[in-house]
Order: sequence, then C-alpha cells, then structure tokens
Amino acid sequence: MLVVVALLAGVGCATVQPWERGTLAKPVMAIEDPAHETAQKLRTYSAKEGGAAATGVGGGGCGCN
Amino acid sequence: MGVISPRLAALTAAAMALPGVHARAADAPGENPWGVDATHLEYSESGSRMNVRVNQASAVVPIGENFRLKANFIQDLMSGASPVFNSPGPGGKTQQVLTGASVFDNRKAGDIGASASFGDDQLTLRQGWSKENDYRSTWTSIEGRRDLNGKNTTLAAGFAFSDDGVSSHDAPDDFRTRIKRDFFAGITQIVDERSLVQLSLEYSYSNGFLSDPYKLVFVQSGGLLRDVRPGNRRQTAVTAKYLTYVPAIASALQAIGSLSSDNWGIHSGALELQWKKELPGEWLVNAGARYYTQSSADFYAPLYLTPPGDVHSSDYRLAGFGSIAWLAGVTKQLTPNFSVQLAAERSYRRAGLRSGGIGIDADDYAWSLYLVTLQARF
Repeated sequence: MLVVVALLAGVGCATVQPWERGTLAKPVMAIEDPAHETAQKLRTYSAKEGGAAATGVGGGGCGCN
Repeated sequence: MGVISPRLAALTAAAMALPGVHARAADAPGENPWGVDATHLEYSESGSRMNVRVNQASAVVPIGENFRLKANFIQDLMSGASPVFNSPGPGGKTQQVLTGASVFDNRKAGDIGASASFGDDQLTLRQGWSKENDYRSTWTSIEGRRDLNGKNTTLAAGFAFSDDGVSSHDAPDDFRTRIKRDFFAGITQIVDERSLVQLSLEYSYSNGFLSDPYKLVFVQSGGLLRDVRPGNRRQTAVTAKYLTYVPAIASALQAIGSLSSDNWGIHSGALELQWKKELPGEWLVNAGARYYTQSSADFYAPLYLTPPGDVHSSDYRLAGFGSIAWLAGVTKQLTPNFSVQLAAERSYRRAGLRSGGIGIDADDYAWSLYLVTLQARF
C-alpha cells in the first residue's frame, strides 16, 4: 500500500495546470458519483456481501436481511 | 496584468474544485450552493424474497464561503421473506428454508454534519442515528481533506465510530451491543490532462454481538442451533479508481477495483467498469458491469453433519459466491438549478463464481434496484 501511495505521489510531480483541466472539468469526469446513489448501492453491497471496500467513513449500521 | 480570455477563465473556474471535490453538472450554480436532494429507491429480490422501498432527502445549507451544514433523512420499508437456514432436501440436495412472507420492518435514519474549509484544508464532522424494530445505531465520523501540489493531489483521512444495539422479535427489548471503528485514508491524483486516479485504504474493527439473531444452522444429528459468530472482526480493504477521458469516442471510461480480507477468512474482490457519455441537450448516460467474488468464512457450512464448534453459521452472505451485475444510469439537467437522475442495477449471484471455500447453488438469487433522484442547487 505504501509503495502504491509513493508511486502515486511520484505521478503527482507531473503538475497539470488549472488552464489545462478543461477535459477534467467535464461532468463525465466527476470522480465522485452522486452521493445518494453511492450511499444506497454501498448499503446494498454491504447487506448482501461478506467482503468490504474502502469507501470512506460515515454511515451507521442496519439489521439488513 | 494580462487579459484572461473568457474561455480560460471558465476552464480555470471549473477546475478549481479538482480533484477531490470535483463538482458535478448539477452543482454548477456555485462552489458552495444551497442544495436539496430527494431520492426514491425500489429494491427487490427474485423468488418473492425481500422488497425494500427507500425514501431519502438531504439538504445542504452554506454559511458564508467557508462553512456548510448538511442534514440527511432516510426511511426504509422492508417486507418479504429471508433465508433462515439450509436443510437436506429431496435427493440429498441441500435446500434453503425461508421465513414466511411476513417479515416487515420500518427503519428511520438521519444524520447531521458540518464542514469547514480553511484554505486548502477541509474538515467534516457528522453525527448519525438509525432505528428500526430490532436494530439501533448511533455513529460519529470525522474526515479531513487537504489539497496539495496546485490541487493536483487531494489527501483524505477519516475515522468513524458506531455504537449499535441488536435485538430480535423474540426478545425485542434485549439489545446486545455491537461496536465498530473505521479508519480511512485516501489519495486522489490528477495523472494527466484527461485522467484521474484515486486510491483508498480502510481498516475496520468490530466487536460485541456480531451474530445474526434470525439465522439458524441445521445439525443433522441434533436439530437447529442459533447462528454464532466470533466476537470480533478485523477487515482491511483497498479500493482503486481510475477515470480517463477518451477523445476518440468522446466518452469517459471508469474502472473501480477492490480487494478485502478479514480474520473470519473471507477474502473478496470486485471490479466495476463503466462508460460515461454526455449527449446534446444536457443529458449524461452511463452503463457498465460489476463482477464480485468472495471466499467463505472459516466457520461457514451450508449444514452440519455433527455438532459444530463454538462458532458456526450457514448465512448465505458468509458463503463462497460471486456475482455479475449490469448497471446503467441517465442524468438530465432540466434547468441550471434542477436535474433528475435515474439509475438501475441488476445482480445475479452464483455459487460457482466463488473465489474459494464452500458455496451452494441453493443460495443463488438475483436482485434489482431502481433509483430516481431529484436535485436542486441554488
């Protein structure tokens, strides 16, 4: 994990200037999906699967069947 | 001072939120807008099993340029049948035994949060509650973000604490404690002028009553026993997300991969691929597929021939299995302030897709979800 983070940090040295981010600003390039959709899908996965994903903190438990 | 062209100014402004807090189309009215979201979700399972209806509403209120408050409310209405245990069936084939179709629960949950921005740093605090007939949860989270390297990099770290109580219809007032702690760290990085990558790591530690009070196990020589799981669980997960724009097809392609492992012996992997495209008239469509696979828990068995050890479960979610899902969505920007979003997903569970351990075909089923969200930004 630390190696991957270090590699990503290395990639970060290639700075992309704000005026070069026109493509990145397109709606299809939003790295975060809509909050409600993400929350509902993650809760479904969490209720129906035994594994986990690194999706950030927040959200309480439920007695989902 | 030189004159900045309107196009350059627009691109610069649009890029200011990158990469960690990248604004979506519906967030366009400003960097810190008022917002109201309302969602309705319909979830159903094959074989007349569970049906869930979810209503969710949230509101974001900005206070000045650097603060905002958020409130969120969720109501779930659940009904239908749920698997309880497995038993020997005709021809020696294991079969699933379900509850009657009368399971019903009404869950209400809410949370409030506050975010503050200090230059390149952002801090968010949230407090949440969830309550249903046989489950209570109170949770708190804190998350910090920092933009670095001219906003080419965003670091995030967070912690959440959840204090839950679990009871059952047989003993509705006997709530047993379940505690969970989540530690999260992530990095989002602009790779080049049309690619982003995000890497996240999460560690969770749970202890207390982690069994399911409604699940049983069948013992060939001795009848039925209650589901009993270990008193603690340590889960580690890593998720990587890559998003790139491909000019040749005027579309974005997104890949999300996750791996997780825990001390119950469950190892899982997931891969989701999506295609996203903007269409004339302020439409945005997306379509994709998700593959998931897991191994079974060390203490899982579909049924037991002889009395099992201290921990035992036949819960189909702790079995070895995999799933294939398709997903699709469409977003329409109705006006600069309003948008509507539709999303759908259908997933097919198959024991044959497991990555290890034990799984049975009798547990296989399919689920679908359909979701509609209205968004307003001012």
